Amino acid sequence: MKAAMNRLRRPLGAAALLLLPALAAGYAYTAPTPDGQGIQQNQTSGPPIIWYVPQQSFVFNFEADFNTQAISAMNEWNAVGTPMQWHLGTAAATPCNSSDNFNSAGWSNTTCDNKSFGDAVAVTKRSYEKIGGTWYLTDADIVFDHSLAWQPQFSGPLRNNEQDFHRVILHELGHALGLDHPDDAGQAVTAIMNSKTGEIDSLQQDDKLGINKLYPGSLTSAGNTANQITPSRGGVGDGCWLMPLLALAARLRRRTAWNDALRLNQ
Amino acid sequence: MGPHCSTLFYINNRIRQEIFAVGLWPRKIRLSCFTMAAYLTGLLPCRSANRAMMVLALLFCTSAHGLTEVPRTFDELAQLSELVIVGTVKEIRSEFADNGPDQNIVSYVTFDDLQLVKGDSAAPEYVLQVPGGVVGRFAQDYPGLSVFRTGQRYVVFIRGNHHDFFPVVGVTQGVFRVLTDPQGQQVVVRDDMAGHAGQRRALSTVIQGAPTLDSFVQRIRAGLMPVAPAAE
Repeated sequence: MKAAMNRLRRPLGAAALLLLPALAAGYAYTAPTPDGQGIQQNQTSGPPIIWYVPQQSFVFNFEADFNTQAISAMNEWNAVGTPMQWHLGTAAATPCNSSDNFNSAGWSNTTCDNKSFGDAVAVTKRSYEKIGGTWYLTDADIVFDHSLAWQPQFSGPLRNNEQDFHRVILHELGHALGLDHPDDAGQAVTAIMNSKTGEIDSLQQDDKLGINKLYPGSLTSAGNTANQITPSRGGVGDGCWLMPLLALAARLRRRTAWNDALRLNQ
Repeated sequence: MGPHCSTLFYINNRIRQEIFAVGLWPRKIRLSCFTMAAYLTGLLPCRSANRAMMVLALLFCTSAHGLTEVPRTFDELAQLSELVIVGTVKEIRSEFADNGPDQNIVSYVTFDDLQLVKGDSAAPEYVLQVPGGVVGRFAQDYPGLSVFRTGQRYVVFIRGNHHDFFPVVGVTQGVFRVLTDPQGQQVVVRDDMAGHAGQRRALSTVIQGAPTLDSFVQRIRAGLMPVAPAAE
């Protein structure tokens, strides 16, 4: 019996190694708390919190080389082919200005709450609203610490004292979609969405599984193709005409609640 | 024991030291994780004792380099912090910050049952301001930031409270949770390694090899000691 076990040990070990990545697949996302009153990050089961309308525009406020990389990152997410597609917004919008009704990204010397970055190099702020008893994403803004030495893109290992803009914006756009860090959820997977990724600079299988979980369904089966944006092409993509109206409505609701909250505090 | 296994034994010793130093793993260790898995599964020969060490090491296979946060060594956490506290979260209160049209939500986390490891504070409680939270039907979050829980005891390396975006050295790297092991000892684990409601790693896995709270505090204080000048 022992001899038989010894004979089987190596083949079984090899099979276990091959199966390990598949078994470990484990994206993470934000979901409502069990009582529905709040939200909680790093969940691996249950209904995720997603955008109310799976067509969202994003405004980039970087220099040309960096905008090109941001658009490239947007295209990578779009190419997964889920119904959730990013579009390029061209209106003048600055990060963190919630009054402009746009998701936006750009450099900043402070985070969206006017604080120092501390040890963070880039920060995504996500806003949510409970509509009809269900939590939805309503706004996402990304700011990059302007004081750091950013390179538009470099491949492979990270460098000391130099930040790769491309992999960071790719990661942050994943957060803007609703994904969290799989490693913070106890998952051991290869993913751009890991909080502590080094050499990964493109979307991995786990990232794609994650966005498919959040936005199930195939874009191509509906006769559409993934939105691929070229840097020279401006304008908001198809299906985005509704967004400013929805955003305005959300803004008005938020403004009312904010004023109410301020009154309560006074 | 072949030469590769000897190398891994050295690496395992490094990992043991790093586990004691509370989980700031050298990047090269992560590169060895796949090789360790090969040894463990018998594809490569290795002693049983070393395999046992590798099981432990593999649990901690992760990179040292954060994507969106500046990586910090353990000594840096201690040296760069203005205040290091051990405290239990008594209350978390969220509200809209009155700072114009951005409508940011901030939360105030109140710690009590305080033990001060570094810094001066005579107050029985300490309030940490962190971004995000839930106010009525509105919520804001910042992916990746540590989320404090009421009733949980933490060790926190604080810097820039009310000034920095997230006033913890190394962002998530400076938040540790105090848990109780099966022997009733208080042990300390990195916040991103600990589990909440079964969503993360099992408690028994997380606390394996974790330093006790006392040794952790001693380690912090040792990191704050001035380095003796070299003998002439």
